Amino acid sequence: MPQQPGAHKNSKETQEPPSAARKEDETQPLYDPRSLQYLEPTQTSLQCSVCCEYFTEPVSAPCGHTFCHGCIMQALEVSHGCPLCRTPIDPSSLYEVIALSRICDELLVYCPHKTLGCNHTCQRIQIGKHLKDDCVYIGTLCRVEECRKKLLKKDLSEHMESCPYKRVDCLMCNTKVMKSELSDHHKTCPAESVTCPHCETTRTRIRHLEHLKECPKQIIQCSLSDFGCPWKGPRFDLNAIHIPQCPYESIRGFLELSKTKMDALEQENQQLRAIFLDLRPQVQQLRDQVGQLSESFQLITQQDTPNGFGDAHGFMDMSTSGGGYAGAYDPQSHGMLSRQESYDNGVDNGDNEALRAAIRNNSIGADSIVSNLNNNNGVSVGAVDTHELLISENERIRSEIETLTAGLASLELKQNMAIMTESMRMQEEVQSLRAVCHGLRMQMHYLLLEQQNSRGHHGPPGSPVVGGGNNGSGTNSGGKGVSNGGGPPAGAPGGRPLSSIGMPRPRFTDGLGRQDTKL
Amino acid sequence: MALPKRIIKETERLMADPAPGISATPHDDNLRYFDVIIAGPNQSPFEGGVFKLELFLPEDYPMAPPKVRFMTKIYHPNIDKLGRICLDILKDKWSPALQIRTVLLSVQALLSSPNPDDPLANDVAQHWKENENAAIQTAQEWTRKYATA
Repeated sequence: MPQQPGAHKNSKETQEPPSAARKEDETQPLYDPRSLQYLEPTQTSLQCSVCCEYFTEPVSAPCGHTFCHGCIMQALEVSHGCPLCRTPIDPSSLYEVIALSRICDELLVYCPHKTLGCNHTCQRIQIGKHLKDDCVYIGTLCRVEECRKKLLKKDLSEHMESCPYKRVDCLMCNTKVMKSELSDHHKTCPAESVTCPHCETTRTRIRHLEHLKECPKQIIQCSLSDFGCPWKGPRFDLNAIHIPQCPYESIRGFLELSKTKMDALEQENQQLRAIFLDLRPQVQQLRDQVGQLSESFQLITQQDTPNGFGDAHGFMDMSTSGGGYAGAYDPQSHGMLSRQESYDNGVDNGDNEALRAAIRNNSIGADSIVSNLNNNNGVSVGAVDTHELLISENERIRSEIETLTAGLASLELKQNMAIMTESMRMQEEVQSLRAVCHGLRMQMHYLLLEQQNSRGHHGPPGSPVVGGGNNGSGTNSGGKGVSNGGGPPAGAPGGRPLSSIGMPRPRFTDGLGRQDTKL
Repeated sequence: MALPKRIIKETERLMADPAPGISATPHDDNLRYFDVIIAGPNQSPFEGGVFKLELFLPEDYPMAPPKVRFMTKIYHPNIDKLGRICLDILKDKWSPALQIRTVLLSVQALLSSPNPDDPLANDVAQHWKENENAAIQTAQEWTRKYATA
């Protein structure tokens, strides 16, 4: 039979299958001996009582019962007795029944692929060979690595004709191409002949691509079109007509120079942007740290403040004049709090400002590359500044706390001093008042004595002359008490002279000696 | 997992050539699960009754015994109120040479000859031992009450 060159090629290709496919086929068992269908009517005497099939590799046990080798081994894993008579079986005591094995192997069976259409029948022992070599209803895989489609062996050659993954030769360039890609390949095959759309000359594609670079009739743009030259025309007009007239040609040097500069700047801009992105998480981290610090700082102030107020109230209780100090202390502690708040706000605002500026700078268009560059510099510096700003702010707050603590200590000292002075003064005053009281009492005593004497001698009572003479050391207030005579001296501390006014006289006469001892 | 050839063969044979007084039908959606009907054996307290059972072939059948349970209430010393059957071949005396058919025949035989000396339902076994006639009467009553189709 004469073969087409293509068909010949195909058959050659099927003979070089990937080795992996062959191995795969071999590792899979071709059939399950227990699922074979027999032509013979069932003869239960030739069947294993475990699998209910004709014996496969029959073995007998000493008890005389016969099973497939596989079946009895499986059964002995579960229980150690014969499945039929329960006599214990040692696996090593099983022996092959060769005659029975031959009888069973000679039974006629259908091909396992009967349902797929294979009508082959043969002796059981030959079914393996049939499946391996002859049966065309056995499943196989397409030999082409990319396809690997599952199909029946009989359909393989038909499939190979149409397999989209099969390699075919391109007749133009002599390379192997997947069949499905052949039509696409023709669009790009370098050996395909192509007509130039501009000058309408024909050549192979690979040459056409070279030709396009120099085709004189191709419409091209001015070489300075990047800088804005609008000219378009056939290639041969460019050098001959356009270049001498092109207004951009005269400043070509300047344009190219600025372009290189611009490129360099853009590159630098990119680098700076990357640096900025690196710094952003660091700024965020610092911000978090400051947040934590301010929180802990607030906690500290909250712990301190109630104590301060308590002290201030304590001072107020101790002395009225101390209130002034307490008042002076109060606003300071408030001041501390409010400064803390303003510090928090300040940090937040500063931070936000810096970030906002950073974002603004980042979004500036490419039209102001130089200024953008400067700004970007500013951003990276700004980020560093923010960092330092935060640290210095921290330092400032720390020193502020220290000054405030010192101020608090000095205030306490002052307060103590004030209390001391005040109490000293009070003590002195009390002393002087006590002295006055004493003087008054002395006076009263003298007056009463005088009165008694004058009564006894019938003399005038309470003579001022005698009183003044007797009480030479009396103070002004003492003199006043004398001039009042028997009248009650207002606010006198000694109660006795006051009450003695209304007392019956005989009592004074009686208690003369007692009065003496008292004074 | 594909159904082993043995199960298919057994099923085919059960359907084509059923044992007398026994019918076993596999479920359409699970060919390992059978609805079984056993007629109460003649000359037994269960005569005239129709007993429904379920039978399930586990994954390792025939190396492991099938699981069989009475669905119909029955007054029998070797069958408890949940329908579980005390039968040695369903437990330690299982052999892979046994089949669905032989198991069901054994169950049928158990109905003919209750064994109160190896009880599963203790109260029934006690009743059976103390007063066999009364126990048989109860079994007959139950059969009439629960196992009449």
